[in-house]
Amino acid sequence: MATNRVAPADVIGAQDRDPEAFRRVYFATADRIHRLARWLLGTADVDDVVQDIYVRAWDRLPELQEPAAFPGWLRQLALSVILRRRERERRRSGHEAPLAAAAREPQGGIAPGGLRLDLERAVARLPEKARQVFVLYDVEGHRHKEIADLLGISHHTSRSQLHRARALLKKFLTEEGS
Amino acid sequence: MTHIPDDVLSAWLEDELGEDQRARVEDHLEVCRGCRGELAALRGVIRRAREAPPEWAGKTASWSALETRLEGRRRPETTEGSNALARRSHQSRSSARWGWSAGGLAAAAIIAFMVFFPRSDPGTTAGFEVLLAADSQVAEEVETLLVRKQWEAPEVRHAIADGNRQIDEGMRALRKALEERPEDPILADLARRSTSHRVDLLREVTR
Repeated sequence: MATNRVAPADVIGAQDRDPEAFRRVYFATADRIHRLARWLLGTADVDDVVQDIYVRAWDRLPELQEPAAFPGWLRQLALSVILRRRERERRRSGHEAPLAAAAREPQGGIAPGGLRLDLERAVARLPEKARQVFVLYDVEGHRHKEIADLLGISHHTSRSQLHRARALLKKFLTEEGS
Repeated sequence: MTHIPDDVLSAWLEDELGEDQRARVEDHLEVCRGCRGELAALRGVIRRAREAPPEWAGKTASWSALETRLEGRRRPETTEGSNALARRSHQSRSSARWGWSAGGLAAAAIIAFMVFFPRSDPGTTAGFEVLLAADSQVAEEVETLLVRKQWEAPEVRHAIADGNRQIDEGMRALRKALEERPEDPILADLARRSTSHRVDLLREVTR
């Protein structure tokens, strides 16, 4: 299992500015956060974005009221950083950029994982909005209302993009398997 | 026999279909082995998406870089200036009065820069990390304004323009430092992450 459970004692330690506790928190959560950034953002500087997320987490941890809520809190913080970065790129390029080569060839950045690599490739082939909704709904467990708010789309669009994404993924994975 | 499209199967899984359509799908699934197979494949996609992620091969290397960044942020914490900055940062998060926050934080960034950078020893990252902490806050505020289109308000545009002028001064100081120590790798790395993005944003909205 690549991602471990975060010990509440480590969260409390990190809140008390213990670097070793924060290191353990990082290693317990970084796989998941990196995948979230990789799938939503997909640019070559994903590693930098992940670092920014943890720097911000370090800065804001003292504000966290309930250590048990840390995993959800970290994901929200990560989403905030990632979606802002995406919006910035979109504004600069004037359109929604496709995933970068680094994301289309995930073997370079991810430890071998058999079928998981197929899923990585398939997700990278999804259209932008379908990929975002799929990641937020099926991977991260957000509801359509939350996704609509996060992405600035309607509930209906969120639903239709989810079904489109699933159908495309099934098609891509079938193609790869044949 | 007309088979069920994948997007309809997906909607059925989410219980989003109307009563009539749901009944048609369920009647069809009872008699169509092919569609049951498609449904199983769709469920497989969802199950795999929810599995634990693969290990990120760059995790350890990235921690080393992150540790350096955090080290720079830890050191100035006892100084009066950074405490003020932290208080300012907290204010910005807790306040709904976004109008002053972009300009205020821009000012905090430049003040932090002017206070800490001249005191920094060669190779010491603390001063710049304080600047970057403030910079991150400013960028966040400005981007929030951009996303919400709130920068159209005159007072916000005024605050941003004011921040823009101050940041320009900071950038000039940063360039001067880089001219004096162009080979300093720590300085170069910090400069790479410094204020250029925010300056771009501010210029964009005040054009």
